Amino acid sequence: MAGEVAGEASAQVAQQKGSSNKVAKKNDDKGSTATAGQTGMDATVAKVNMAEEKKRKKAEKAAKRAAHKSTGPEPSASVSTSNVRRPSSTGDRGAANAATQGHRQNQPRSAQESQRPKQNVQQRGAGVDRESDAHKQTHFTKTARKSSKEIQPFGDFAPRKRPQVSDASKEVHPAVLALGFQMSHYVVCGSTARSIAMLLSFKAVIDSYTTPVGTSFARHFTAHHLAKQIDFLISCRPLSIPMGNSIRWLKDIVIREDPSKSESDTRRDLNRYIDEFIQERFTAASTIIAQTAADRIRPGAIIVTYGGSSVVKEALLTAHGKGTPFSVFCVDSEPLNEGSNLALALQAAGIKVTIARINSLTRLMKKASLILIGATAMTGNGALYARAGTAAVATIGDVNKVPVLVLCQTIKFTEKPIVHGLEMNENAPGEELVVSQQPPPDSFDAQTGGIIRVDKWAQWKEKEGVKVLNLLYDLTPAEYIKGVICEHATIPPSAVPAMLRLSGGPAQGA
Amino acid sequence: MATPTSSQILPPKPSSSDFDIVATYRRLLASDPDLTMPIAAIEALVEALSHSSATTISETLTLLEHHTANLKRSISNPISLSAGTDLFRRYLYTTVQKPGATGDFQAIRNHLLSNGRQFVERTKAARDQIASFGRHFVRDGTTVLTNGGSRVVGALLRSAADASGGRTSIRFRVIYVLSPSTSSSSSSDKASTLEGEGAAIVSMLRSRGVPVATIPESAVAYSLPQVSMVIVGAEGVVESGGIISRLGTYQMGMLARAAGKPLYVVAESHKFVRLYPLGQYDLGIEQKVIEFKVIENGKEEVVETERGTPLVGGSARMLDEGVGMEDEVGKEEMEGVDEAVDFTPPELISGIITESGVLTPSAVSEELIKIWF
Repeated sequence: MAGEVAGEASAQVAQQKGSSNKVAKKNDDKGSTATAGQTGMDATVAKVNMAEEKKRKKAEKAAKRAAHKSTGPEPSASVSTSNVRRPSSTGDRGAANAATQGHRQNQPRSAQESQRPKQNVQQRGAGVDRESDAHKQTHFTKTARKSSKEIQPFGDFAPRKRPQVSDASKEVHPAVLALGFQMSHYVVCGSTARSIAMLLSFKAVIDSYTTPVGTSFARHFTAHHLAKQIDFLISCRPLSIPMGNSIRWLKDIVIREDPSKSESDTRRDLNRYIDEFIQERFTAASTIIAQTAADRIRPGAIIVTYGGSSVVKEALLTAHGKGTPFSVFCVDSEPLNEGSNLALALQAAGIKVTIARINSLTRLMKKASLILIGATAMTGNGALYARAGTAAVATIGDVNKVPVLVLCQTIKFTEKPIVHGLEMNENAPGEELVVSQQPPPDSFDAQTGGIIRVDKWAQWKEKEGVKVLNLLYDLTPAEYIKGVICEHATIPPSAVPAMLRLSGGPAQGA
Repeated sequence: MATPTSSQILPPKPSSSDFDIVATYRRLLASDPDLTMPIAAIEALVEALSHSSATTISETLTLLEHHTANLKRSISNPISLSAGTDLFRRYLYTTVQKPGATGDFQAIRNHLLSNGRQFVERTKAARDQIASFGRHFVRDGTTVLTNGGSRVVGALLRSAADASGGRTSIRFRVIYVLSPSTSSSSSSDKASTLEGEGAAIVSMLRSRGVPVATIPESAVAYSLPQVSMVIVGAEGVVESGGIISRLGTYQMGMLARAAGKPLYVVAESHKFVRLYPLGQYDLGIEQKVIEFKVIENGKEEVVETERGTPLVGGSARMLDEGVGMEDEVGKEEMEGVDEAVDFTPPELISGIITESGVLTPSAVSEELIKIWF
């Protein structure tokens, strides 16, 4: 494809560069994953750079051929054997990440390469509603589409794979193994639930751990045992920010354990610390937030919520418990249907609920008085990182001047700024979106239309030119958020880093 | 969150103390025209403490809570006041929790009393500090639009005018928004003193050779093209960085934004309130600004007030009747528009000039976090 573009007018040089870079990037993904997988060593940046350099040259020579290849088999290296160990990255995405790092390092090398990050941003931006980028964008995607269907804005964003039992290393504890599969199939879902479940499973890991002769608990446990558990969890689903924060905290207290303490004492103490941590940073924090948020709900208010945040649920139940009359619009979306699950819980408590699909947002927002949403993370630049669809709810709320409040424990705060919706995002397996294993009993009849007919797409993998993008998260910029209710105070999103600093950082506590 | 809603406040228990906090507060306010509401509240609380015979920390705190509640209940708009009482309570907590604070309660009490007075003195000095910061915003050839009777705005403009003597004189003009003749009702003497103050600032500036034009509120948009900046005072600066100020400030902010002129707020940092309003009707107070009336049996009758208005959309009528709508007994009612306040959201504010520097609205929250943690 890139070759064809090259053959076209010279005015399109920029596009051509973009496309050939794209190709190169594809290859990098494969290359670096393979490296990591084969050697079983840390995927060093230097290696990636070399691989990238080589592949890119090849790509430029025979761009057309490479373009063909790029749509071939996906990177197949087993993720669990890869030792790319980053708390915030995934096995699958580890490769992509490494490649991106390579880009950054290469940046100053040549004029052509300095074009790359810019092009990348443009390409990635294509799927995100960024008005500022929009017009640049259309031009680019148009040419890209004209020349080939194969290059897509999310081409480098490989979907997560379902884990296999055989992928797990033998050291993985059964509790972690079970949790991994539960997370992968959304049985345990939601960042609060996942973090707590992870910490509880680590308690089991600690309980059944014996320090090998010649090492100490603090030295061996984290590096050689806990790491394997974490790797397996990552291979099931990427870690969320609060999970990463919790792991950082756990590693910190393990390392500070007195080596002269007896092993059983160490185990007992660590288990106690974990319990306290869960209580302080998740459970109690959530209760305080729920109370603050409940005070915000006025009699007669119409609350809009999206997804199935546990804190929002607690807040609504608290407000209902106080006798405030209000009703809730539970905005729901495929494929997780968290909104209708939340509605069920609220209805059972006697709250008036309306279930609405996300496509009816503009209409229902006219009546709304307050939007309460949960978060996966609040980032250092004040943006909200949450379930895909949240940005749509917040922006439409903002247009209608409905205030958006985020309910978020400080454990979900991160200093890391996220400026782009694809950063850290997770592309779930496509079949979850188009193939419904067991159609929910209350879903629409296929006759009525409105949703994609399940059977038509059952064989989507065999169909040509189809990719399914099943992103799980999106990013809401700070300007659409009126306030963040955390356990210490209500703050504007810009004060997230200040709160993090003053409350002692994410890893402190207990 | 320490919202100053008085709905949860217990009924008064006059027997618990014979010290009349409200009278003291009013006396203090009346005796010193330079005193702001939060500082008067702090001073009144310090006085209450010195009159009390409390011998334990717990007793002192209970007494403080009681007096604070009394004060808040007696004032129709306790937002500004609560900034002072919250600050004092916080100060008290940190003082008694200090590791150095040993068992000697009497020492702690004396320390509190002397430091409390020091605190009052320091906050009075804040105004001069603000004036010296803010003076640099008023440059040669500027035209400043302002409203209300804010003392700190007056101090700022005076300081700028005083700097205009000599060779490096700053020539600036002021457009002052004065509501044409306020209330005839005698009960709102507070509002007329505010007007008096506005007029006092006008004549003070004019006597210093600063050209001042006075305009009614309806002429704000008309005058904006020749304005270079808007400077307003505030009753309270809230956690989001927005301000609560006298009615009309919000519309000035909106007009200034529409005209592309910066809006600066001048406020001492003791006016920072622990309140996070999301909109106009979210201030925790009741105002009689909007009242829908019909004529029934030949006389006007209010059918709907702002009470319980949802933040946006809808109206109080849609609410289920009778929940959270009981009259708050013993609360002095707001006197219509004269004393009313509105909320200017942080998006409209370019900077907040305080004694600790010029802050962006988002920095207010950080300052507050620093105070409270």
